[in-house]
Formats: sequence, structure tokens, C-alpha cells
Amino acid sequence: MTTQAPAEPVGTRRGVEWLNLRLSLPGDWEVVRHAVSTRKGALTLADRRRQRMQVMWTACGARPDVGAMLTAYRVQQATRVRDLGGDLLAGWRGVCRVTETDDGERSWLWRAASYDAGSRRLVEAVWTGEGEAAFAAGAGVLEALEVLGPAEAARRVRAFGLDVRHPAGWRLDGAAVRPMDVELRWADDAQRVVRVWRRAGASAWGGDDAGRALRELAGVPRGTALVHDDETAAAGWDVPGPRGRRLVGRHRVASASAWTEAERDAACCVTVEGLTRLGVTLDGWAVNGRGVAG
Amino acid sequence: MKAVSNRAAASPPRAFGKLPGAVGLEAMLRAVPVRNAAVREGKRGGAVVLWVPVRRRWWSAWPGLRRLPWRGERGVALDALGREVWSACDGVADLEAIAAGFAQRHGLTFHEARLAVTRFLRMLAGRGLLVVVGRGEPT
Repeated sequence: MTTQAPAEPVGTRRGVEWLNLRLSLPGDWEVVRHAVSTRKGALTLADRRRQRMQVMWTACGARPDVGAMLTAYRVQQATRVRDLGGDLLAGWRGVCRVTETDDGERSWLWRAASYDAGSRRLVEAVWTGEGEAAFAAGAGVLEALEVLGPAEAARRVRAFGLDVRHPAGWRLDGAAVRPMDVELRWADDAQRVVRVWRRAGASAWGGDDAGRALRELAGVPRGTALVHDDETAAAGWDVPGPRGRRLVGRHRVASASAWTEAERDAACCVTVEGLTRLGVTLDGWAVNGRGVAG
Repeated sequence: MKAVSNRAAASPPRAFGKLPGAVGLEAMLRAVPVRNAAVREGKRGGAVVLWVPVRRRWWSAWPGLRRLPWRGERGVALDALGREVWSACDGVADLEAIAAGFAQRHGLTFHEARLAVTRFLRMLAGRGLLVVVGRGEPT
């Protein structure tokens, strides 16, 4: 199933990476629904008018019988489901369901599945449309889809206006996606938490000033001294926390960095928290092509 | 032309089921926000304030309340993003064009901008500053 990834999309293609799934979407498609579970989840893709496609993943201990799955689906649907044969695309098996209304209008639904042994994941895709053009749009996404490895080993997230690269050992723990306000959260086994924010419309809420962005997004208490870096237009905040509470593991030390992206009128902020000062750094993290050192 | 009910837009969304008279995405994108002609634009401390006339309520005629100062209009201050969206509401551009332009200027996806713009327009419609007018089906 894995194919060579296309070149970084420019112009009419949009690149998305999520839990080690790399997709290349048509320019007007975007992710409107997501899941962070590595065991089972889906990305829902839509254009301006309607939902176009859903890409789903399921962790499988053993290789499933994709043919039997699709046959069962065909039987369940009973009518008007045509098996597209063993090779819908290279490595994919699929079926097509055609539904006709009383008015004579027809709609198509394609369902394809493929098992990736390297990541032990079953990847399925469902897309709808009318005719060959719609099939081609979905097939194009599947042709370019690449499974980079197990979902737990993902080291890059590229979605919702953020491109975050991180070291190994971190898992995507949460994603709160609101209009013009995105927050992604990672955690590791040492109970460290990294949060990455991107908030658009910075000029409206004062986010064009890195210090203001830091206070707004990271919740830095007023009166706290910030460290400013004029070269990178960033502001930083480092809180060691009271020693007594650190010893009993009740206080989390934190480090934060914020900067503005003037060309996109957005402010970004990254914070890292941990129980002890040791290891509370952002070494190896990069957000939107910018290294973040905490 | 029929008006998409801004009364429906002003009421809070329900958790389940559709609001009566709710419109689909296609119809919403083709709808055109039209400004209230009675709205007056003013400035206050560098911010743009939109003044909309307010109708006297029945209880304002009570003798004790008549003496209270009555402005006769209510002001809504707009921030930079609000001014941008308000300026785009020229009575010609539909919601899709306004959202697409907003998305392009701020590096957002279309639906991200659509949600922010429609939420803002819903607020303006609830305050009587504009109305969103639906257009008929394309031929």
C-alpha cells in the first residue's frame, strides 16, 4: 500500500500528516473532524460544500481478511454494490455502491481498504460523489496516501495550520480545534506535557506582540518577568516552582515560548510542563519550521 | 428573495436536531448579508462603533421612566477583525466570498473562516445591524 510520497504540495494540494498517515489533499479539501486515538479513529475530509471522504484506521494484531470484509459489506447492502476487484488501486481493495432515487438520480459510494503490515493498521476510506470525477478525486488521495509507521511512533503532525516535529517518545494526547484557535497536546511516559497553540487574528487581540501572546495563551501571571529575544521576536517564561512542592510532586515546572507569524497574522505558543526541572525542555521540537528551545 | 430568519440565527443552538427553518450549507453560502440602512457608523477612541436605532418599549412610557435619559440608539464597537468583516458586507458579496476572502487574508482554512464569520454575522444580525438574505436556487 505504501507508495512514494509526492513532493511537498504547493498550490493546489494540501499536505496533512496525522498519526503517521501522510495525505496529499486537493487544495479545497480540509480536515473537518479528527481523532487522536492510535487504536481506532478517522479523519473526515470536506470541501467547501460537503463532506467528501473519510479515512479511518484501526489497529489490528493480525492481518484481517479484507476481501471477506468487503464481501460482508456487499451482502449487507444487498443490492447495487459492485466489487471493484482485487486491485482498486495498488494495494487497495474496494467496492462501489450505486444508489438510485425514485427520481432517477444516482449517487455513488466507494469503500476501499488496505492493511499495512509495518504499522499493523487497517486503513479504510469511504468517499461519495457522482460519477468518475468523484472517484478520481478519492482515488488520487488514496494513491498518495502513505503510512509512515505505527501511529504510536509518529513524530510529526501537520494539520490545522500547524506543522509540529518532535522527538521520539511523545504521543499526541489531545487536539482542541476551534475556529482560529488550535491547541495540540502531547504527553510522554515521564508525565511531561507539551502544548502548542496557534491563534489567528493576532493583530486584533494584541497577539502581534510576543509577550502579550505569551500571557494570553500560556496563562503567564501578570507581573511575571519575561525574557525577550529580539532576533526571533519571541518571548519566554521559565518557572522553577517552589522547591517544597516540587519535592512532593505537587507542582509542575513550566517553560514557555511564544512568537508571532506576521505573514499569517497568527501567534504561536509552546509550553512544556514537568514534575521536575530536569528534562523540562523543548529540545528537538520545531513548530512551523521554527526550532523551539525551552 | 426571502430572508433567512435572523431570529433563528439569534436563538441559541440546540444540542440535538435541527432548528425549525434551519438552512443547509449550500443555501447559507449563497446568502448575502445586507446592512441595515438605518445603521450609523461612528468612531470612539479609534474604534468603529455602529449605532443602530432602538425602538421604545411599552414600559418606557411609564411616568417614572420617562425622565430617564433615552439615547434612542444602541452602539456596537467592532475590533479590527469585525471591521474587516463589516466592510466586506456590501450587499453584493455572498457568505462564501466573504469567508474565502477572510481565510485568504488570515491564512485560515475555508471552514475555519466560515465558522468565525458566520458566528460574527449571527451576532450582528441578532443586534439588528444586518440581515442575511437568501438567494434562490441557481438555474
